[in-house]
Amino acid sequence: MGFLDSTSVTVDAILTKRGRELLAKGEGEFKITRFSLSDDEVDYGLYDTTHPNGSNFYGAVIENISLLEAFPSGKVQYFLINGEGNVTGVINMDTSARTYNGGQIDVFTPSTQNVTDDAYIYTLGSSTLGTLTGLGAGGTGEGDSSEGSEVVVRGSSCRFQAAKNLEKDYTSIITIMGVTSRATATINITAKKWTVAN
Amino acid sequence: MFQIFEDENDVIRGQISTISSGMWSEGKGNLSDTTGGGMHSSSAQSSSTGDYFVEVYNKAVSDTSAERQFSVTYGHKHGSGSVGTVGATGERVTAAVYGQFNNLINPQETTHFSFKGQTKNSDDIYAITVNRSRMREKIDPGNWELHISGGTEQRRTLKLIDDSSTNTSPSAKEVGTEYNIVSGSISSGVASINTAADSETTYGSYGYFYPDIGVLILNPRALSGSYGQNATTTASNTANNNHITIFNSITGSGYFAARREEKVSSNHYFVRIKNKDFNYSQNPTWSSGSDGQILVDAFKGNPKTYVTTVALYGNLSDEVLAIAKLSKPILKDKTREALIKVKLDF
Repeated sequence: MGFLDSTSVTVDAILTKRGRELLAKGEGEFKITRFSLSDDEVDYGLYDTTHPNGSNFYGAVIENISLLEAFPSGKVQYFLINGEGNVTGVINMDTSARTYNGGQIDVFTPSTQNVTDDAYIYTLGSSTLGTLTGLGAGGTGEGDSSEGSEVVVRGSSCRFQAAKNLEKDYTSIITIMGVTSRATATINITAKKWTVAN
Repeated sequence: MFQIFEDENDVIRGQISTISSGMWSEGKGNLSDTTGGGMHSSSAQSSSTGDYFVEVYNKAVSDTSAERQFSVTYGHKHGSGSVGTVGATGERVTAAVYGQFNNLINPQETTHFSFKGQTKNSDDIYAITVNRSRMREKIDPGNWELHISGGTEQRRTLKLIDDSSTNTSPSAKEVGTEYNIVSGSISSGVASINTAADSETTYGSYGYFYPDIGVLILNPRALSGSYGQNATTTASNTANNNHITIFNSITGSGYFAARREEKVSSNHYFVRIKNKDFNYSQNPTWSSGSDGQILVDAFKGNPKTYVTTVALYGNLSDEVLAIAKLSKPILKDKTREALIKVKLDF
């Protein structure tokens, strides 16, 4: 008779750049209350249902991967979610690249196929390009970030206003993620250098 | 999707634990030639601030990975051993150093250092200051040993440690706890003191140790008197370079073992993953980005995922505040629950 494996998984977390900023600010802004899970780095194409050793080994290739350490950027790409049936949510919206002149405003209003999302999380890669404001139900207003950092807001829609007085063209992405579905879409954006014509 | 922690059951905040480690660069416990890279000085430092102190590196400074470890200096109440006197030109370096450490360590209106075992004031001191990034929060009392090699006549090696193993009520100074420096060794794993500080009545004790500021104050009389390994010279208006002499005595022995100590505050978060949760994924190899259909046929009707990452959030925004990665992916499906304990140190 063998011993049962009674070990639980213990992992060390690192603070992200934003976590360090809030911790330094004090004022009780750093308080962890929620978590989410991700399967970044996993390629499900490696799940092998023809493995000669049987079903216990279908996922052997995936389970034996040594994962990379966590990144301080805190970037998480793919989330694990709850679901039903054989589908997950998909964001419906035009994701073609966009270019903005200084001060120009654009509003994003996504929708989700297969799953109902009441709100979306919008992330602008760099605040240098402009401001992001969460609108509608659950809207969090204008995002707050240090110069050049990521801006994150929430709302049923979102307004982007390109920065004025840029000394050159800047390019980044806006990521849109359904709060429930965790479906994501990314849009490449360029904020143009400020000119008199602007 | 977000899962909310139940504060009472899932979160333990402010767990304090004491972490100790080798004090020198790369976590080395001894700065000896064989294990710690040795002790090296820098000609660049020597030409700029070299009149005041000698900075000791773990490698030759030509090596780009060399880092500062500690510094040694000499101070004299009246400036002897350095150029300059009152009313004359000269930096009076040793007077400046003595005043600096007296001001830092001793109570107000104290004019001199005096060492245990003798009431006589000491006009001079040696000081060893450990680099802040090496000691971090403090030097671990009872866990350092410094060897000072003997002089030309008495080629003995003096082994110095602190008396924290027997000193149950150390003095409290503005800069923190004060222990005495005594001759002895910790090489057996237990501190072995040759003579207690109070019993060093001829020249006084070997000095004081201040773990919280990483400073060792050494008594020149005890060093030269007992062991003759460090002939301190105190000529007036003359650069005797006693700090270089003590540096040579320390590097001559090539042995400085020490640990550092820091208190780490940790929060523990218990991530409880129920059987019905987190069985679907937005990973592009799991489901189609165009219509959301599951791509792996074996997952249809029995979805499986692999957990690799735990992202932690506050309740004010959707930005990740802390992140943890597992060493290997954990399989998750409707028949499995998982418990992941996430530890976050501050």
